[in-house]
Amino acid sequence: MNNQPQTTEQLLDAIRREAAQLELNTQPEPQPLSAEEYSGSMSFEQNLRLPAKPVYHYREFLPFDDEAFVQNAFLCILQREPDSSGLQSYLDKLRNGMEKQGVLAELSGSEEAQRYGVRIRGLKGYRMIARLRRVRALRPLAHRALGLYRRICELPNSEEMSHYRASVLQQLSQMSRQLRQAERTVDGCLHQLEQHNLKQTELHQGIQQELSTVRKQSANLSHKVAYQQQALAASATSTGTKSDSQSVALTSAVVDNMDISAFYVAFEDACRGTREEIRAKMTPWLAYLPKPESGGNRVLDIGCGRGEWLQLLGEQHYLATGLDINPVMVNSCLEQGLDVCAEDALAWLRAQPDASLCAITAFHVIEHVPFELLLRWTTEARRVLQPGGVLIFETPNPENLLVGSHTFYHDPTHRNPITPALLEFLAEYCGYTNSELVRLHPYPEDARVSGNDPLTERVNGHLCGPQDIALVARVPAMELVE
Amino acid sequence: MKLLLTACQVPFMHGGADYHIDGVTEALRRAGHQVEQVRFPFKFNPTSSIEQLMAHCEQQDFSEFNGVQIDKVISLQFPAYGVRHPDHRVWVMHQHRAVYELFDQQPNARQLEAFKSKVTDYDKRVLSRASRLFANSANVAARLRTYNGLTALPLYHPPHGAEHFYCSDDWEYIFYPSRLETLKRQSLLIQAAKHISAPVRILLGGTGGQEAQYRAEIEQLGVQDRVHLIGRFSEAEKYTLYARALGVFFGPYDEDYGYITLEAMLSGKPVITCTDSGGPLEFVRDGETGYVRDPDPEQIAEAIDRLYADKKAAAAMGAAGRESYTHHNISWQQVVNSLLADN
Repeated sequence: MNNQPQTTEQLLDAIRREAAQLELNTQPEPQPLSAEEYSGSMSFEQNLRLPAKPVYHYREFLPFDDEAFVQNAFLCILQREPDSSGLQSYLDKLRNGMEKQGVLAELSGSEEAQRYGVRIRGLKGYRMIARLRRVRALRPLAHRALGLYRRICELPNSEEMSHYRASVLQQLSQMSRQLRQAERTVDGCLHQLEQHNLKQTELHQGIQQELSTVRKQSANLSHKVAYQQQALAASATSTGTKSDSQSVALTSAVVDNMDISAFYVAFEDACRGTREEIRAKMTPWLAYLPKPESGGNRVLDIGCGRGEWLQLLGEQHYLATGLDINPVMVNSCLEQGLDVCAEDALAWLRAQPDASLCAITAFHVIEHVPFELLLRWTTEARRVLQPGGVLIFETPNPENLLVGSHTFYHDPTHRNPITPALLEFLAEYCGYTNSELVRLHPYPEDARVSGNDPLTERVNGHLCGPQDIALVARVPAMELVE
Repeated sequence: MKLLLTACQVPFMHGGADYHIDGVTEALRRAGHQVEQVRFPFKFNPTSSIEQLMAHCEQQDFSEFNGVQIDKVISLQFPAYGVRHPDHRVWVMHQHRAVYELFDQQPNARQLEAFKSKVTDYDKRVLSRASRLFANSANVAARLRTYNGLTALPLYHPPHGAEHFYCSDDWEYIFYPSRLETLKRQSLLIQAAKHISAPVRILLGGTGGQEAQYRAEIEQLGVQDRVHLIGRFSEAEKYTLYARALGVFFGPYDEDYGYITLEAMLSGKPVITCTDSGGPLEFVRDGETGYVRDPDPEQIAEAIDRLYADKKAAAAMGAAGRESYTHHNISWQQVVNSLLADN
């Protein structure tokens, strides 16, 4: 009792001191905390959450890591949970070494953040660096600035240093202002450039279109001119001795006729395709011919047109003759050095000795002639072809409904579609053997009705099947033995 | 054995009841039983929510859950003790006091009449079904007899940390640790301070709803030099506060049981209590282990002066209290034995 405490404070102090020395093996009773410190007794989830406030210091976010950090940053700054892509992208950034201050600067600088106006203090430097970072080209600069800034932040906090820090901050802020200006200008330029490019493309397309129209017109015109020149020449020779009145009548008749021919050539030009396309189309036919070194190598092509096939034959060492009733075509072929004349096919065949040709071909010709003529050609060809020789007639395929009912009639000089059955019988009747029908040029795959049930197959067969068909008829080889 | 222990839970209001519930659970586990607690959330208002909970509890069959047989159910609180089990041991901590001993103090007693009879009927009905009925104290057992005509055996349990209490020379103060509430009647002690002639201080420990009220009263009576509201204290400080007291005052109105009496006895300190304080009266023998006085500030002041005047006698009374505690054989082992005994 000699150490009896005198005042109440002394008494309570003495009690506390004595209590502090008690050795209790029991767990200390948990002491309730004041309201602000309640986080200790909150759930884990609540513990990981920063309270909602209008202003934070960035340091408040630093105790949180990874997902908890991004969650808190979103909740505090954007007032919402992070969307999954946002979460992932910031997690990636953090894991790739971006510092939390940088993330906070980016988030609080975003447009969405402006709506809520939540302020994060202590981020001035990082915010500017984030701005630098937005411009791709300036990222290395931003990186360097960041390093510098971090080093500055780590420097001791003397007055001198804080002056230095302030001046660096000022410089950074000026830089970032200029950069933003530059960014805006560049954006404007890019936009203008894009517009310009768009206009140029449109213009280019227009020019291309016009050019192709002009090309067609000029081709037509040149044909027209060629025919008129020929007609004039012909009338000059044929009417040389006749009276003036006759001359006028004849000339006008010839010129009329020539007009139609000119039209036809222009039409063919427009429809047939380029030389290269035709060469590519004809090449497979070479495989059907007897080899030139296996005996005779003479080939007749009836209706040789611009002579693409003749040229191919020549290259393969065939001796090819072309016939065409169109004088312009004949001229064009002669100019290429091909053996072509305007003689009548039947007359030409009749003039040939027996078994003197290895092949006779006629591509898209037979539908232009009366059947009687076709029969005579076929008969005469049988005589003229050598044993093992081959006769090829290609014609539009009327098995395709669209061909038989529609496309066949594109050409005003076509007579009747010729059916496969007729072709086969014709060959047999005329003494050919081993005849085969080659069906060609089906509609492209994408024109077909989709599906593979029997009905669809049939529809596709009738509407989208081969547009052309060829008779390949052969003279028996054994005649060689005879 | 598989035991279910039922009680109530008032979220974020923790106190002696939690210690009691956890204490008995722990003791039963130490005795080798599997114990789980089932706690029903309890709201004091409105009374309809209490009625709903009563109905709910009474519908609960706790004899088995998904094929798991429950050997015994031990219930501690109203209305959780309404659940059904063939071997249901009820140890009544206290009843719903607002419709029993505190009913006359209710401001709207008239409106509560119907509710009161529902609760009384419920208690009578469900407690009659119990295979054994205990009360937290003789006081609680007496209420059960008076109000419900039920016989319950008083079963005491030790206060928390009983082994840590110690006794030391007094530093001339009277200690009263309790929640600062009207029923605890700190006012008696504050008013008594006016009449005390001895130079003793009064330390009121704890916090509560009446803190401002009591603070005002202390100032109004001008006893701030003598009476001090010391607020919260740590567990260790509690032991020292008891150990260094001249005596302990514990004069609430009709307390069920009261750990403070036991803690004072364990600390070898005389206890001053009142004639209407309930629980403490089971332990404090006037003039032997303390003083029992009317709830009157002057009488209380006189008792305090007496302690100061003859400190030796005071210390002797404290020692007698300590002995008395030992005599009562109060321990968790005793509690477990009694609760589970078959006879």
